[in-house]
Amino acid sequence: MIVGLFVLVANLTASLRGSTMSGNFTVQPNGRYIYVTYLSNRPYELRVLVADDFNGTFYIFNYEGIKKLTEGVETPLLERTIRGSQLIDFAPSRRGAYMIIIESQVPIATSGAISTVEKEALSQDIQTDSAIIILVGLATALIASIPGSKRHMIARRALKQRSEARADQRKVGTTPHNAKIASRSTIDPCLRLLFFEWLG
Amino acid sequence: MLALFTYITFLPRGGSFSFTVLQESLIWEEITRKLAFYTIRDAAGFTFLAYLPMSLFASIFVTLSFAYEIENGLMKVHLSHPISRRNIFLSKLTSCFLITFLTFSASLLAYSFLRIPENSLSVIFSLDLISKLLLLVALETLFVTSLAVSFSLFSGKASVSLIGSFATFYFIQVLSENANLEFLPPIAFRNQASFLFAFSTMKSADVTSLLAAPVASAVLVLLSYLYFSRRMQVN
Repeated sequence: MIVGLFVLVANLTASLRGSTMSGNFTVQPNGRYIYVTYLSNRPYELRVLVADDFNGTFYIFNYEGIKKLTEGVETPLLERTIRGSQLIDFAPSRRGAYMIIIESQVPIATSGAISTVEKEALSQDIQTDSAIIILVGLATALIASIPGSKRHMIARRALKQRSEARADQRKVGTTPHNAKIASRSTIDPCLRLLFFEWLG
Repeated sequence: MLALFTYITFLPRGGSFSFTVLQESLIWEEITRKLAFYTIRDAAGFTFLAYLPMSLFASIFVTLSFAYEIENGLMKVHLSHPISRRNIFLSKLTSCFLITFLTFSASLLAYSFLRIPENSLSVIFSLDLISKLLLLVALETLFVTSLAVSFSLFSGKASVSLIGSFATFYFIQVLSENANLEFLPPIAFRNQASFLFAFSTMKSADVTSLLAAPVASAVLVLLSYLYFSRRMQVN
């Protein structure tokens, strides 16, 4: 519950500023440039900077899409034809790993750059997840405090009594049987003394 | 403490990992393994940020456990019991270590699992990566606990122990960052993280930076133990 609560608080109180991440790439003639990146549940502007005569296709795959792609099935979330530099708006529905592919359709190797500009927004998916964690934590705490059935209560009481008895034994340092002997043995010398005194 | 560590690790930050994949190595297991690696590597980066909060909490726990008990006479009661001094020292040190270690580990593991929820199973099965993460946390916790314990035992006063140990932690951080002494924490923790989560092999020059903090922690624990078990007089 604490984890969930503070995931929520951290995301609410953060300044939520956007960020930019960029990198260079080279695509082989009629080849593909593939990279995997982490995207949050926020709107993004993807800037693909390439030569004006570049002609190709831009794909984005989500986690499931990547899995299908490795099996040979292409199910992109977004598919866009690129002719020269381009701005692409993309808002993932959930945070996670996304695969970006730039496919070249020109017979020469092309170099370029790609920037991922994250815009200001509240990540709703992490808020939902944290709310679920809070609810699970709260439910666990409540279930633990709910009194059980009569049979369960009797069993709990018996367990408590047994643990109290054990604690008492530990105080004496002996078993109940030995404790009786010990208590007797402390009285016996006194009785013996009184008896001998009475005898004179 | 769990709240603070969770807050630190889950604050949204700009920029994250990205890696290129070759067409011929487009294998699902390899991609999930790489995602798990980058997720846990990101989590390992928080050992640097958590240095000061961890130092503060360790100072408080250790002061309450050692110096405060010496000051108010409770330590005398513990020592009057038929338990060896070694056991008392080890139980107190372990409890202080475990409180900090388990709390910070819990927040880092929560971060690793919630970062890419679909890839959590892959993170769980990457036991080598999780072990490296826990090793980093253990090394950092051991350093802060051992230094605070030494302060606590040698001073014997709660106020001196609390303020003195935290001031020392802060001074070490200032030295490490401003004088560029890479063998001192928290830069040393960052170096340890980058060594454990790097593809490159260790250079001989990195050895001092990597081993200085663990060796210092071991020496401090040993000194504290010897002092507690042989020299310390409780009046």
